[in-house]
Amino acid sequence: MDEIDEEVLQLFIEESREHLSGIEDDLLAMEAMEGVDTDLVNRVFRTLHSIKGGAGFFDFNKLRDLAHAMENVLDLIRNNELTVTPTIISSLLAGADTLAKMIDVPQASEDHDTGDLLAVFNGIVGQTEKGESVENATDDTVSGLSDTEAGEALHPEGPEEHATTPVDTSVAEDRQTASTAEQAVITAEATDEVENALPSNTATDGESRRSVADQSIRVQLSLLDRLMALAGELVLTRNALLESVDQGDVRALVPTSKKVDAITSQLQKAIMSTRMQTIDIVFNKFRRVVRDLSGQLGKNIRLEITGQDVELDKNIIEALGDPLTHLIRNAVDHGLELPADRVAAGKSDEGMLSIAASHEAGQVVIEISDDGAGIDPEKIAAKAIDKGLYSAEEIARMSEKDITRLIFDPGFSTASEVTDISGRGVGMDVVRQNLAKVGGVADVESVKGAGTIVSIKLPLTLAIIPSVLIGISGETFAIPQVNVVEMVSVSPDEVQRRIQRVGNLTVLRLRGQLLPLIELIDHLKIQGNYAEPGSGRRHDERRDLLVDRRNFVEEGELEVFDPRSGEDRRVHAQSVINIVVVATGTSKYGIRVDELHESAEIVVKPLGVHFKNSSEFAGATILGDGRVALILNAEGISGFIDNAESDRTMLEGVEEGDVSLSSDTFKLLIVENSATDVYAIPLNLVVRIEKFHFKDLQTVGQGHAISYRGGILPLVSLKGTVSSAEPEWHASKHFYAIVFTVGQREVGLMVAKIRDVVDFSENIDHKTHRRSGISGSLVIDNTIIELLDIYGVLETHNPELTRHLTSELEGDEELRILLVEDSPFYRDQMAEELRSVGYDVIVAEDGLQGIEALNANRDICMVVTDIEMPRMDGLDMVRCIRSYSAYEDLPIIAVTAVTGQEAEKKGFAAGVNAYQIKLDRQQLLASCQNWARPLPAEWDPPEIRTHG
Amino acid sequence: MDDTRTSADYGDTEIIVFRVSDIVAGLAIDQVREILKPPEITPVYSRYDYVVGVINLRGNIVTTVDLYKSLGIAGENRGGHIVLVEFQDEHLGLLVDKIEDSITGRAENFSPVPGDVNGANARFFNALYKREQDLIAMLNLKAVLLGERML
Repeated sequence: MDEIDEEVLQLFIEESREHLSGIEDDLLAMEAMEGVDTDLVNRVFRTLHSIKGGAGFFDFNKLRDLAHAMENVLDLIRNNELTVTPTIISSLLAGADTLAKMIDVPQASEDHDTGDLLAVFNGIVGQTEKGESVENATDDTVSGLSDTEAGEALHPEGPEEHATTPVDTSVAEDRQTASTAEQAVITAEATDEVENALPSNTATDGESRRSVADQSIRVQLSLLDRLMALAGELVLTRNALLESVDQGDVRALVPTSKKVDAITSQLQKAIMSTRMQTIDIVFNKFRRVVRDLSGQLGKNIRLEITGQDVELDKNIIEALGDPLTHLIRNAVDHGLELPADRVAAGKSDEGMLSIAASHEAGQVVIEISDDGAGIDPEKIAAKAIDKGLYSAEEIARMSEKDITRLIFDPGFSTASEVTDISGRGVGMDVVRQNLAKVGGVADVESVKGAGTIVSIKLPLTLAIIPSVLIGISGETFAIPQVNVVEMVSVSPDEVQRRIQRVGNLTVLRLRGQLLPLIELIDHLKIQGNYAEPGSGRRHDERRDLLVDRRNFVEEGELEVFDPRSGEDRRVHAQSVINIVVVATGTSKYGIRVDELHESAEIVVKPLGVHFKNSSEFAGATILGDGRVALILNAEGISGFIDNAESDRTMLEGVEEGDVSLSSDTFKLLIVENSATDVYAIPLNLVVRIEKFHFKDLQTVGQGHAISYRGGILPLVSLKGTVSSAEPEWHASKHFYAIVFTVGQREVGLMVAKIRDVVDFSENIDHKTHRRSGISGSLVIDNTIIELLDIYGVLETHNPELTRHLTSELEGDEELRILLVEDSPFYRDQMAEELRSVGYDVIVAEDGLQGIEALNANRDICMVVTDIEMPRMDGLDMVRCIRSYSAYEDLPIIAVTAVTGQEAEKKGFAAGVNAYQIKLDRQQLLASCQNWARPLPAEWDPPEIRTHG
Repeated sequence: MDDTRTSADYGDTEIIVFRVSDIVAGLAIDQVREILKPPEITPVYSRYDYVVGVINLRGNIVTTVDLYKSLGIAGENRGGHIVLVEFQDEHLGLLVDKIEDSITGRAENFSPVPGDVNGANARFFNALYKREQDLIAMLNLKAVLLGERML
């Protein structure tokens, strides 16, 4: 086919599609019309006629014949010779569907089997001519068609001989002559459209044909005029700009640049609006869907559509079709009841289904509501528990609304039995995911027995997306904001603990979870380089990253990055490692980045043909300085994770994580006084957490207390002790009490909200924020959080009470204990614990310091020591002390993270009296009570000398 | 433009002549949109090793191809110029050592490609053009841009 024909054919296809998109509505309207609406019937007639004409011109005979047969039926209707019945409309709809299919790829239209349809239409015409009742004659054939969508069920062995009957031809010839005038009109319209149509691409194969048609869009002439006017203005302003630059007139630049700015914004807006399409393109097809489904299910449903004029970006409109269809099908199938059931429930037998679109705060909201049976939260809850998605306790804590929302959870389908119409194994989670792809968010609200509303919020456009810009080896990438969960900084001394390697997989330990980490350099062929600490100069990474899989692969055992070996400069001990945590519908992972830049609204630009099959990038954008940044496709990038490996690791990680928690990390409870007033409490000090009702609060003296477990629990508030801020009581009727023990009594700390429990290593700043009630500060997720000293808080709150409580335990004896521990965190914690029960504590950071302290303080009656310490470890210190006979009876308790019979044996051999696990507060205090005794009166120990 | 022309399809046309290693290559003027000094090329991961990256051309992202790699010849591209071509409705950049000349070619001087051209497979070329002193190898854009794996 030469080029001219190709172009005309393209035009024919586009035009026919447009006509056919309206024919469905028109046919449905015909079903509802009373008498004959001549305009309406004529419109359908003309559509079929122009398709027939075009098909004839291009020699698509089957297409022509089908259009022709349908046209004949319309002609009879127009002439009042045939009364419209639902069966006739159904067959016309099926015919229209087949026409649409054939037109999609007209070259292949000859392959379609139109025999059955032709038989039906010719049958209708034939019966009418003979004066028989069409209803009887066609019922058999038509019923076979009425419940098929898009004529899918047409039998290939259709009776071909029906296709041409004498009646048929005669009618056709009649009408052909009669409609010459119409044809002229249509041709004229077609020519108009040639002028309006945007230049379309010339595609050569059938496969790309659909996308070709989708690539052109109709734009209002007035909008083009406006664009032209803006372009003109821009040209003038440019001239002014060039002139002032030529003349070196700096002052004139300012107003001109402002004008450029203004025009650019207007131009951008105007151009964006050319992409906008009204949503009725999607909505209109639902009339047919609802009609067909309700007929099939014997339901009586009225569909109301509002807000068809709402405009959205073409891309979003296209992506809406499937999820909305699913929701509509759900509503018709599961939501709305059968007429009898409705009447029994005291409703009108006609069910209401409404689809509404509206603008709301720069977004578009689509609501699909029905007055059907609604969603039963109990059933949802039962199913969620049954499927093991949630535990009964978790469900019990959820509101009804939250339970209803569970239908969006992966693997949830509400129909108890899968029906043909919805629930074909495709749950609501797919709806949610599809919407998420275009930045949409779905929510559901339902009242049992009264109906369901599903609301969808969508952005207006996808052409500009808010993103986070990141730098890797000097290259900048953009990650769409929707995918970014959080950004994590791992400080140098935490790297070893939090970033580990399992087999081929690097993982990040994040709040007790293991998250796969992706090193984009390895996957995206980026020339790896690193910034020299200090100078910031970039150097090429010497390793060939694509070939060298580093030295981590060997055993498949858990190995740790060794920051000191210089093995991998990217995890240099001196540098913080930044990780962007990214989530897609199905996975969550971290991307290691060199630099975190700002967030920005970026304009999405498409990539060329070479990237058509690459899932790694969603496009590219141009940065302020003119450089190109690629937009990462979070879904595609997740493909870099070896899934099997990842699953295995995550499973292993659970156990592994627990072990490491008892050795190197400690848990912190993060609590809120208000959203900005956040504190951390070492979890080992917390006995339990209680939720109390404000109405149970009693005022005792100057403070508060609450009746609790048959006694009185004194309460301490953060306000007035460490905070001046008013607490924000989130659950207005309740507050939380963090219960801890002082002496032998329990005291509750009132907090507004429990935020989290986090794992943390020993990286606590004990200097900067230290004050009464605060023992230090730490950084979690880039926020500074103060570490509470609970005993300090209590002391500030009520010194008398504190003294009273601690005196209950120890009386007024002031026993002095030496605490030797290298970790500042544990040292502070244990010192506080010991002090809280009345001991006088002297601290030392290692064995040597411990011995110095013993020499300097002759009144030390007990030693509590760590084992692993620099310079001189705990066991060496104990051996040294015990080598003096005077010190033979001094109680020494070892506290350590490393336990086991072997270690204990060594400890006892060295002369330790008791062995304790770190962080076990109760045991430590019990041991102290057991071992600490006042020193004998004639105590005069010698000076201890160390051997070196 | 599909660019499946043979030596007989070239009429009298201006030819842009450029150098890729030892090869004197050419494109008919109607295939060339523009010639530029390479701006900063952003490397992009691609399954096609001859794609060097993308450039920002007045706000459009243009994929740029290293002709050394597409033609399968050894050595490093000096990258003096980018020849911007239009191919299948997309603008693409060809990174070449440098632009040499622009000459007026006559239809009768085009001849079929007899075999490999200075180490590059004959399939990358549509025709040879006989200049007084030497031969200009007329590039087959489809072969050069899409390579074997995409055809």
